[in-house]
Amino acid sequence: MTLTTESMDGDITRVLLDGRLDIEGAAAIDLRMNVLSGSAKFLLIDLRNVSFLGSMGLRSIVVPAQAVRRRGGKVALFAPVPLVEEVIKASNIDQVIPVFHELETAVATLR
Amino acid sequence: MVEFSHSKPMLNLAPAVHAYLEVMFSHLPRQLVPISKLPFFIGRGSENGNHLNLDDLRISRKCIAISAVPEGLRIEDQGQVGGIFVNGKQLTEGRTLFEGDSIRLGMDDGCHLVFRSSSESRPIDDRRAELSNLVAAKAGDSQLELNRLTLLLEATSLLHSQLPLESIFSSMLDHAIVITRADRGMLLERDASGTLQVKVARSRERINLAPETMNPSRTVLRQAIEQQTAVINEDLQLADFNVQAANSVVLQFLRSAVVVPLYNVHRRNDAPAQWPAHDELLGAVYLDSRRTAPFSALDRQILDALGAQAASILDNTRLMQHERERQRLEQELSIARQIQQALVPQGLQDYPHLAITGIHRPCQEVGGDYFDVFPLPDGRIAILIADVAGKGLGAALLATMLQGALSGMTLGAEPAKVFEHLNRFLCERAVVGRYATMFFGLLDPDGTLEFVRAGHPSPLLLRQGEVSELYHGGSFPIGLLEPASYTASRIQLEPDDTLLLFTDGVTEAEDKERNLFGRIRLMDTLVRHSGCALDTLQSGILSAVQGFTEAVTQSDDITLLAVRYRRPVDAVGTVAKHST
Repeated sequence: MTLTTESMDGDITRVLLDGRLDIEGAAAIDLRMNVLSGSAKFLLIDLRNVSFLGSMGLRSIVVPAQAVRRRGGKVALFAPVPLVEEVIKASNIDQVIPVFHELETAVATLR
Repeated sequence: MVEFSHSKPMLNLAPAVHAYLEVMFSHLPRQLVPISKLPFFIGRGSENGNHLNLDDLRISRKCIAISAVPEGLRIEDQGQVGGIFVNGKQLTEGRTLFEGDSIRLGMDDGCHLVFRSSSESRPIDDRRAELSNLVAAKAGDSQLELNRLTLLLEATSLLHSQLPLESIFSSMLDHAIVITRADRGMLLERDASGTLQVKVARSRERINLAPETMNPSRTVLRQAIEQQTAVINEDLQLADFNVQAANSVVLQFLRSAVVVPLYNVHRRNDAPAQWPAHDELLGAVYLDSRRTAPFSALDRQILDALGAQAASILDNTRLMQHERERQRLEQELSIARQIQQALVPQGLQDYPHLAITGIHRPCQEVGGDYFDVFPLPDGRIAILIADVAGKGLGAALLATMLQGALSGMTLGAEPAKVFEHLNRFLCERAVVGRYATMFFGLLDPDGTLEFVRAGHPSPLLLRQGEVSELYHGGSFPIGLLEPASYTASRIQLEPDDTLLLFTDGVTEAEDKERNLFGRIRLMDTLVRHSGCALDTLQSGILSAVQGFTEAVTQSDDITLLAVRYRRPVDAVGTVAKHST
């Protein structure tokens, strides 16, 4: 599991996750996600290279996302593969953190 | 030339052996022999059934028997020429042995055994005294001291479970001081950050010195570690050319020091020849003296042997600590497992209007999945399945807490309200850091199923050979998002409808190519078992999952709960006329 970030126009931090977000994957990104949640204003979590999302992985996304929102920021999830999107929807997370498949729409919502 | 024979440290964790014989023959090396079997025979030649074979013509073939009696261990003369003497008195009939009993074989003073026991009932101080007697220092002969240190090493292994580590380390340092004739000695151990910290410090007078007041020369320590060998420094002030670094040495006016770095000896011995030279550094023995040049006559081989012995002791005690810690954890885990298993409904009872079977197979000692079935006062039966995120003890703790909270439903609370309460409770205590998915259903004898869901995959409904899901779309798990709310839904079950509740450990079981078992396979398996008894259905699903994953280790808890609704009964429990 790897995590890389890049800055986009409009104060958006894009977080690219790559790998399996199972228990080990979640443990690998938790600390950095926490740091990001304390600093980023607009967070775009790019899930396109996440092949599996387990329950601990879901937590690794939701908890930092909620922290950003509490500070007045916004979070969007981008391009989950069907299996991953299914997990997100089964937990109603998409009702709280919007899911997008087009980058422009995601960016427009965050700005 | 010092012949240093390194006896491999024994880590005998079996509690059985508690008594030993210290064998002291004028021409043989002193050794400790555990009394490993009872009765225990001593004599010349092992072919005579002797457990301790004393290959010495002064010893008879059948010499001594030690056997168990209610009072302890009893010694008997088996026919030693010249007799057996215990504490100077000839043995005419058997007698019970006590710690420290001296046993002389025959008339020759050179054949001598001492009985050593480490029974649990004796106070620690006794044993400490015993240990220091065992290795009592006679200043002067380094070789002798080294032998005693070897003995200490053996004693460390033998008595480890009873002796505090500090006293073992103190004894070790006392020896090192005697061997080197230093003024004081310290044992330094590497802490988690890799820094050497003074763990125990002793004076020449065998008095404990406060570790925090010790100020060993870091320069000499560094030197010894860099060179990976014992370093003798006769004038520290010259060695510490850097004034700031030398400060600690100047302050204490110390003149000379010996540093013996301690490396993991097991690894060194077991390693293949091409093993890289950098063994794991465990710590160092640091000895210093205010006199000048007291160490110049020290034999390097003595120092190396001292290092090897001290490292063994340190390493051994560490292994013991780890082993003890591991055993403790294992014991606690098994208690946790017992509690968890006790909370799973035992011998699932069928109710007049439903048959039930369930299985919980955690992938670790304890798991985060659980199911429960319990009757409500109004005649409905509660069925529930839950899956706490993560696994192991943390998940199991939360699962147990949820189970307790949900059993409160029997008091007539509304399930959706209970879910909301639990969600708030967990979110407010966010540090818990866990959440759960759940399905909770209440099955009325008339077939009405009221249910609340919390992010849990839909149970499968098997009706007349066809499988469907109870619901589609999502719902909030418990304890993940604060503003979550829950609603109850209802469906009507028909007689012989089967509900299969499961956790994602089933659908997310992976084969070696990391393909998931998936919902479709689960549905197919269920269809294939329509009409089967619930037990058959359950084992059919388990074997389908197993067949799919083959040799891949189970990575998540697997939990199944199958419920079959039977013909409806009326309020007083009589079976209604209903064709099945």
